[in-house]
Amino acid sequence: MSAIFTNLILSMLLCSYALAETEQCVSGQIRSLEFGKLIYEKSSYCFNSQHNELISKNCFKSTCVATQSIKPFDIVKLNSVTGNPGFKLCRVLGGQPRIIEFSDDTNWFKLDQCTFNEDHSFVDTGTLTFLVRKKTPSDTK
Amino acid sequence: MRKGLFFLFCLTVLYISKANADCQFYYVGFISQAPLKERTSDARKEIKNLIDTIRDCSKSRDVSTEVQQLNDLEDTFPHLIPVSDKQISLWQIRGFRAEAQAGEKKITSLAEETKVPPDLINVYKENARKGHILKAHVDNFIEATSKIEQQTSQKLAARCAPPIDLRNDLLGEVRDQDDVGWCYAFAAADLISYKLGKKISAIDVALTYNEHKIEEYSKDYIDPDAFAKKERAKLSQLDAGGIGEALSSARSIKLCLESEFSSEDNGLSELRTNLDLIHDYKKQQKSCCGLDHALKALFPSTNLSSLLDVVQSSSDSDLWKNLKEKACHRVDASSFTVESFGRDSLIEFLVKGNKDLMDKLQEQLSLKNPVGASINGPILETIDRPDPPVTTFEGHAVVILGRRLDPITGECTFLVRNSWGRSCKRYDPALIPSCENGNVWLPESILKRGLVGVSYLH
Repeated sequence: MSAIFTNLILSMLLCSYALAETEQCVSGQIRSLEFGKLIYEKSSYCFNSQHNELISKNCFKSTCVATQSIKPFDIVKLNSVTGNPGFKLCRVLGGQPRIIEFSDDTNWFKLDQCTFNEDHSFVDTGTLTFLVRKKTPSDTK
Repeated sequence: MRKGLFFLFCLTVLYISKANADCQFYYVGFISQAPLKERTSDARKEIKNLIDTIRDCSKSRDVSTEVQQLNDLEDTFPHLIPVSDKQISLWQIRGFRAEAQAGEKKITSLAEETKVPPDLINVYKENARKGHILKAHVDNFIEATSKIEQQTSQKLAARCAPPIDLRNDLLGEVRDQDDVGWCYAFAAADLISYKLGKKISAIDVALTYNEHKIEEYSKDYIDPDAFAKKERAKLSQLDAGGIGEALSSARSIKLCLESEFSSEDNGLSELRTNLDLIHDYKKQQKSCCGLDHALKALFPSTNLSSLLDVVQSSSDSDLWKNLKEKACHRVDASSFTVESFGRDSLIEFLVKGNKDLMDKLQEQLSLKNPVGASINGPILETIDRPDPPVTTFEGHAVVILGRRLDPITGECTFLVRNSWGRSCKRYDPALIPSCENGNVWLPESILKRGLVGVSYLH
């Protein structure tokens, strides 16, 4: 029971921490190149001033699958020759990674996105790596 | 398997060298509980071993661990200790002095390269105090170290000047290699792009590098037995490679532009999936699995029907060559020469170090020439492992586009263009103090831990 409670508190802390550095939430658009065509989707999300951190709005001040899926993982295991480790981490945690662009007013910013189908919540793979690192005991990092 | 044996060998070499350098610790073994005669006999043996170790090892290291064990045994067997407390104490002081002397060597050596961590100085002071070294000597040593640090700082500043930043609009934002292990091709494509002033396709560089392997892969499908094996080779499994070799192979052909042969347009699919899909289609002659989409993803500026015609009319071995011929205007990179230096094995890296590689890097940056760097990937991640053990060695390739002096640490930092996208949050700020949209400023002390090769173009 206490372990569940601790995990709950930790999840909430992680969630708030992830958003502490974000500065703006908007209802905007996400576009991705899918097989040569630009696909546009309406979406609500939050991002930081440099536009290199992204999290879906349903994770803002609330629990969502993207942040609940965070679990301890030795990130070094992903750091191999076989690609962007953030993409691999996303798949390990049950998400689906892709390269996207998101809008802020009339500007578009390229980033990636790890989406969890259950509630369509998402987070960029860099933030995902950050959250996993925070949750991983230092002796297993 | 070979990799495993190689690591085992490295670890053995390291263990042997460490064992030779340090006098090994002695730990008291099992002492039987009864009868008294046997117990006493066991204790006598252990006491002898402990005293031998304390006497011998105090010449080279702290022997407090053994002294503590001897004291514990003395409580139970007070009459079995054959040497005086005073002698033990003298040996212990000698051990601390040896530690302090070794600390002086380490601190001096470090000061000649960078700033010495305060913790190391504190440990030295404590050993010197316990080793009864004169305070005046310790103060003089600390002062001398400080002077060396200042000289080093000036030297490093000179080596790091002038500041260089070769980022430009053509290279654009940091690329994202997705799931595929072609970091070396992204690095090589960036180097060629910088020289040509045209953004080159990373995927084309990778496929060219893997050309002979692709032929082998095609043969798998011709051989019915191999075809039946589900674990047959996949085109996209051709992970890993060297920047220098990729540059050399790219010189031998005319290259596609990124806009003609896209490395990052994979949508919800993966680059590897798209590649396999096209290749598998050709081999299996089945119209399925979104061939149209995959072709459009990889060749966004070419008419789809003409691409389909190429797929239909090409043989197994010339499929990719013909697709590129159709889609690309082909840019010539043969006028450049490739320079590549590195370590052929981990042992060579451990033995030789990488000072010459760091010098080459500085030299080329001074010439405003970007450098491809082969590094141990975990140096970008392992804040809790300041010295990644050889077992975590994972090759990764990046481009180094600049340098500048960190005004706070006084250390040279290098601008690393990685291929993991624009995010900075994936990097630990304690390890990488500055990151700008995926461009990482990596301290020299971190880079030196894992730089195993440099490649560049003339």
